[in-house]
Amino acid sequence: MDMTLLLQVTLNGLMLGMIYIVVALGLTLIFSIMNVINFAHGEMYMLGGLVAYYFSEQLQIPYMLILVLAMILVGVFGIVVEKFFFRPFRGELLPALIVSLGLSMTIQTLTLLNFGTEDQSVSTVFPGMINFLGALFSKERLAIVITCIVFILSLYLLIQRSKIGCAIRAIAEDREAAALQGVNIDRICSFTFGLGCALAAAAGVLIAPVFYVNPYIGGLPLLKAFIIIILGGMGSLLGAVVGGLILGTVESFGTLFLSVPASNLLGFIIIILVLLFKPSGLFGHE
Amino acid sequence: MNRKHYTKNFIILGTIAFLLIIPLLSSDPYHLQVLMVLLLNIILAISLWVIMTVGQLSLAHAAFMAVGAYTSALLVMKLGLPFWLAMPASGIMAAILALVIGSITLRLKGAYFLLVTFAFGEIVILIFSNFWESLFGGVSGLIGVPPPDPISIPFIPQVRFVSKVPLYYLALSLTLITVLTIYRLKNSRLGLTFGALKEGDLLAECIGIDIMKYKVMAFTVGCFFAGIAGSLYAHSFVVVTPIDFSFYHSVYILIYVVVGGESSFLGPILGASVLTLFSEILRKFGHYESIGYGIALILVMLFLPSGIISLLERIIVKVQELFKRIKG
Repeated sequence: MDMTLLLQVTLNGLMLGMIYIVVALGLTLIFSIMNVINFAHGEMYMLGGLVAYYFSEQLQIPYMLILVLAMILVGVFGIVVEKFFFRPFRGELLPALIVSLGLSMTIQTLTLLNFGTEDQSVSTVFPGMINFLGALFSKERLAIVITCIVFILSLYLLIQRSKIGCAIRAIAEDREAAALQGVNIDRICSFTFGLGCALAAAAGVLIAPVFYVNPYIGGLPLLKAFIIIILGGMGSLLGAVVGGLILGTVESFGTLFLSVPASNLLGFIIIILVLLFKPSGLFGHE
Repeated sequence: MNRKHYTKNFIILGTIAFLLIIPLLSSDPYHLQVLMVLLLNIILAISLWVIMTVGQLSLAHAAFMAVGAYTSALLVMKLGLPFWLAMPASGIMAAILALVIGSITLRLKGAYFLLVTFAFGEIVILIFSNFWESLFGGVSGLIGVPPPDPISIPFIPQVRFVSKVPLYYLALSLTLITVLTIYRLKNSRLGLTFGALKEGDLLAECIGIDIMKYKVMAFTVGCFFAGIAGSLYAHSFVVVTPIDFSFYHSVYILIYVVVGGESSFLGPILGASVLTLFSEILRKFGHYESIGYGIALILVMLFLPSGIISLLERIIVKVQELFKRIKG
């Protein structure tokens, strides 16, 4: 097997893995404090891609600014959604699940009516390739990997070092106890939901130039994010990162050596195996 | 027998009588087709409800239906078995698979079990669409599944499944059998034990109930009927494609139960009926169908968290009060 090919596959797997990790981090963050499995999370990713398309193709705003704008817009949208649709069901798995499905359908179709079903491409901001130990890797993909790493590290610092991060951890640990210590549950939940949605939107903006944008793109990353958080343990941020790296690697090598369906199957088989031996996932705790 | 019981029986018998004479009222194949989908959805919703009575949420119900559909279609098409043997075999196949998967995964609870069943459902669909294509037919699935074989029933002429009408009666009989079986199960000792598990695993375990055994049992029973529904689907609608049993179909079945009302036996039946008709009515509006459906889901959950059945119960109570006032 050609070494450069292996390297190229690894780097591509890394990029996809990073995007999935950023989506999964938002999902797992929301689950950890609200016990909501948000099926509308993929729609936030899609909205991010859409914002990127409008702002870069129609208004020609610089890309880094678009990234920030998309995160703010979708983040605020997430906060509104949380307030009206999820707050009544906080901590209740089933009704929140149904509401998120209803939201996903509504958002997707509303987008479809305004946007059409055509694939739209977003032009790249970092043209050109770089040669890394003989493997060709586009600058764009490298930029994506680096930006994602920056996001992951900032989120880690936010959760571990800041006051609001401390409150988030407290709620994830024990909601009542946190409330008794004077943590404002409503405010933290709405902040976290907004943050989770903003992360999904960021992933959507970042990957938009590599793939294309249409109202259906949210489904796949949602599926991958689910796999990642089961693998890593629901509610665990470290688990999401490790799970994403495992999935990205397994899928890109599976595709290289086997086939696309076989590599997808491999991902699911790994989940089942992990859950058999550690039901709460690699880094989860009961 | 009190009055309430009396009215209830009257409503149930009236509904069944109405369903029996529908083919006489309308011979439009479209109407019968919609009703067959509705009956199938009732079987699926009520069998998923059995699993939910032990406190587990499954997103693999459509996958077990797929197992039933493929088993039945392949037994008939490749081995030439009669439908009347293939149908129970498909239920048993789904049940055996559920027994194996359930024994492994039912230790998990809540969101964890939900996500594992989701993963399992995806595996099943992935296998049907991409592996052993000569057997399963790949993404396009199995085409030309034959209708059920003619059957001789005493006192009536031989039934041949050449039009929608006999197929409709077959679906209706299977639905009634399923609903009745599950109703008896619910009121049996076993059903009460299932309910105890939902109330609290720990408590049930403390009074000496082997929770794992009963959870596996409920899962197996529920998936058995999903397999039967799959067989009925395959032989009624001629084509079986993997996409028909995708994760979204499982989600819809779950929605029927929750929107109908999961705390009551009639809830899933009501939910499946109302939502099937609702989406049929919305179909005319194209893309607005999903918006209408999505908004309806959100509204029901926000304003009727215990499902449509709670609205019905409230109305019945109001009417009874009204009657009392008139009498008084």
